Order: sequence, then structure tokens, then C-alpha cells
Amino acid sequence: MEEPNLNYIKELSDGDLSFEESIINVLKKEFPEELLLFTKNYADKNFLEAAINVHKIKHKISILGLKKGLELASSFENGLKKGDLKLYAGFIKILNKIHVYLGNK
Amino acid sequence: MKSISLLLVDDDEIERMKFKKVCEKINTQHKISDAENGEKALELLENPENIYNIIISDLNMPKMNGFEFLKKLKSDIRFKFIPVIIMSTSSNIDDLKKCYEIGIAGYLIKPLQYQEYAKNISFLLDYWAKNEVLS
Repeated sequence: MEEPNLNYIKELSDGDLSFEESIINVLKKEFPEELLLFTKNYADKNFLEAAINVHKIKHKISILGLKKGLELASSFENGLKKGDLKLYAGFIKILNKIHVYLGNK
Repeated sequence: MKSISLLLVDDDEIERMKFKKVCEKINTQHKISDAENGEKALELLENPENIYNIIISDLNMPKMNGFEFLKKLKSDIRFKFIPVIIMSTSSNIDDLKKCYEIGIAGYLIKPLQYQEYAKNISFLLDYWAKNEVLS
């Protein structure tokens, strides 16, 4: 089971610690906001809006090295646009992992 | 190599940071400006002091998305000849066709792996820095 990691960010930053910190700060600031928006839109059955939220969250899944998570999120985003909700539980698991990971940073 | 002035339009702050970092690693001579959506990009373009050789834009953005931004650019005589590259996570063929119909110079699907991303950005900057259109 893959876990969030900083491999991508470290490769990108090339040892620039302040850059790494800036990226992590943006993740910590934006992720809870995006999570909240997604949860609200999903609960309100605004699935097209929820798909837009998933699209934004995908960047964060990607930069935290969750390759399989990204594939699932992309499929979920496409499914949401058609009202297909079957990947919801898997997507929520990914969000929870990120939430816990960023909470410890 | 000629240095170019590039405008990046992307609503995702991390994507903008990532792009600028890669550009910095490739060639610090290139001037990179950025905007978080099409509206902000047009504001920058309206300023005659800002001359851009190339625009790289995302598609999915709030306020003014990439398609609307492209249409505005291509209908304005001042900006219609600036090459626009779309850089998106979308590999949807309809999106791609729509972009080419409006008039883009290229379409790059954002690679997931860092090395591939850096390679593509490097190739793109290299290509446009050498392109005769800019000279």
C-alpha cells in the first residue's frame, strides 16, 4: 500500500530546503480547504463541482508521490462527471492518508 | 541560447512553483511571469511593458478557464500571434481538438514523473528559445 512521501518534492527542490518548506506550507494550507469544498459538494450531490475539486486535489496527490492514488482520483473525477460514485470510498482513503501525513509535518 | 519571456497561467500555486523551479534549474536567463487565471493573465498582457514570447496555460481554471482565455487572446490583434502551449492533465481528445481549433502552438500533458516533467519543460524552452519566430 503506497504512502504519501516527499520524494517528488525533494527531487524538484534539489536541496533547496526553503523551497521544500514553501511547497509543504501550500499543501498544508490548501489541502484542508479543498477537502472541505469537496466534502460539501459531494454531500450536496453537486457532482460536477465535486469533480472540479477532485481535479485540484489530484495535483497534491501527484506531488505527494501517490501514483496509484492519482490513477484512482483521475478515474473518480471522470466518473463523477457522469454521476458514477463507485470510487468514492477509495478516494476518501487517499484523502485521509494525506490529511494524517500533512498533520504530522 | 536566447532568453525568452514566458507567461505561465495556472490556478494551482504548487504547479506554478514547480514550473518556476524547473525553469530556474534549466536556465535562469528566461524570464518567467505567472498568473492564476485567464483574467489575471490578460491584465498582465494589457500592460505594454510586458512583452511575452510565449504563453503556457492550464485548461481547468476558475473565473476564466483556458478555453475562454485562448479565445480572448486569439480574437485580439495584439496577442493573437503569441504562441500558446496548453499544459494540462487532461488527455481528453475533445479538449485537444477544441484547443487546436481555437489556435494553439502545442499541447503538453503534464507528466507525472519529475524527470519526464523536467525533460519536457527543458525541451519546450529550448525549442522556443531557438525558434525563428522570436528573433
